Amino acid sequence: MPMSPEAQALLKAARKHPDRPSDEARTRMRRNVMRAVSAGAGAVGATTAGTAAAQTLFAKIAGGALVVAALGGVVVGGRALFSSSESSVDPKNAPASTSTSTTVVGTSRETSEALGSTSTAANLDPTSDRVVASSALRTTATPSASSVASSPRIATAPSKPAEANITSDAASAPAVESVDVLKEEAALLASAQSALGKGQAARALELTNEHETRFPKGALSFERRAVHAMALCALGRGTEGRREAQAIVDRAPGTPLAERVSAACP
Amino acid sequence: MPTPNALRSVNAPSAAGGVIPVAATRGSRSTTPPKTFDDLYDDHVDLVWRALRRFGVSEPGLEDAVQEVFIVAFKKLDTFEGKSALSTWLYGIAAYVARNVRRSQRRRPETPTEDAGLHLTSASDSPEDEVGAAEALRVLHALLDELDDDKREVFVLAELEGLTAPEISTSLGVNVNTIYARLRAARAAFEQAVVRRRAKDARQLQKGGLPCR
Repeated sequence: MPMSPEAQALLKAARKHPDRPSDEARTRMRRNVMRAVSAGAGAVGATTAGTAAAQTLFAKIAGGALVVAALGGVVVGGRALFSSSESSVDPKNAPASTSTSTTVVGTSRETSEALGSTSTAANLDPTSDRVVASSALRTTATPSASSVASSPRIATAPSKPAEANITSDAASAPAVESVDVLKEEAALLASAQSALGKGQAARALELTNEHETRFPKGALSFERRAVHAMALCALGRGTEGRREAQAIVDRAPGTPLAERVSAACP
Repeated sequence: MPTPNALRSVNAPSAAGGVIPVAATRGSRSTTPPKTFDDLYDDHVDLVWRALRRFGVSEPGLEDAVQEVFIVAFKKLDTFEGKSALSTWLYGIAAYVARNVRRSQRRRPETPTEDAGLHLTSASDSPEDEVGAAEALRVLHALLDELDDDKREVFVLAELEGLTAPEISTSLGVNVNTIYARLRAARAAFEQAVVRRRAKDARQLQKGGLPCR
């Protein structure tokens, strides 16, 4: 069936002048994607280490220079992110062979669990009913993000300090640097979470203080503040803890993170 | 083409270097040695953006959708067998992500349509210049919106992205005969949309003429 001249003209114009992202959009998306996949690499590496699932890409390269399994901290973004992605992946096109969650061994389990709770707590977006992700993955275009609230998304947690940080240096900071920094940040926060979970609140407080010193505007600042607040309350420093906790609740009311912090700091 | 696994093995990644290796060839259909995931992104971001737009993801959600495609691609790299071009594989992921986005868009309250200002005649009249091309794209997207998901995907991949039916079959995971059938139906549906649009233009012309661009 031959196309009409109008149809042909439209198709020709589209081929010749295709939609393209702006340079700013490219940079912004690149940064978000690289952060996300870096976190994801850690997640896969950590969760497949020592398991029969070690035939994945990341397990195959685990013997090389990429020792992501040791960097379990990045699971914080990875788990969350992948739980989002998996829910939207067509099994036909993308078999779930890199399933991340259940078979964690050794120290990875501990880290993963600690961070898993952070991930859950990071599911903050009040407009979304399904997506979880690290605040490090948040896109900078808030109107855009909210407009697709119920669609598959890669970023939710409204960590405003992190968001501002990402926005301000999106164009200048190389993704490479952010990858390593995020891993370190996540690992440190995981340690703090882990300590808190073991009842070592003083240690958790030390680690969150260290986190604040090293990553004052880190992508996980918001999550760190939550751990910090809970550690304070666990140590009996309720006044300080509740103040911190209130800030979390104010920032992300009705979220799991706010609920956890409120419960820890009644 | 080397196998993905072989490619992975020669691309020992470096956490310190921050690069993430992929088993992929550069460019849409090239056989340039594989690089990193960064390269994959740089080489294909325009393709993914364009494809998602053509698959019906509108601007507000486009960035998120592009990011999701790459994140899914990264996660599923080990399932990419290297039997097809990487771009073909990415189109498949983009099509799936776009379906999800459109489904959620349909659940939302109707947004004001831009349809009112679109005219087939003026858009297809002089699509060579920049303004004309932009108008043509808007009209084209409005026409594509009239196709269902199956037809739209096949039509876009064949008529705009230039894939062959076997490539589309690989990309979408659909039997090639079905692709041929869908393409035939999609072309007819697109043409019908053009006819409807032409009639609408004619009615407006009778009422008071089409606005000048």
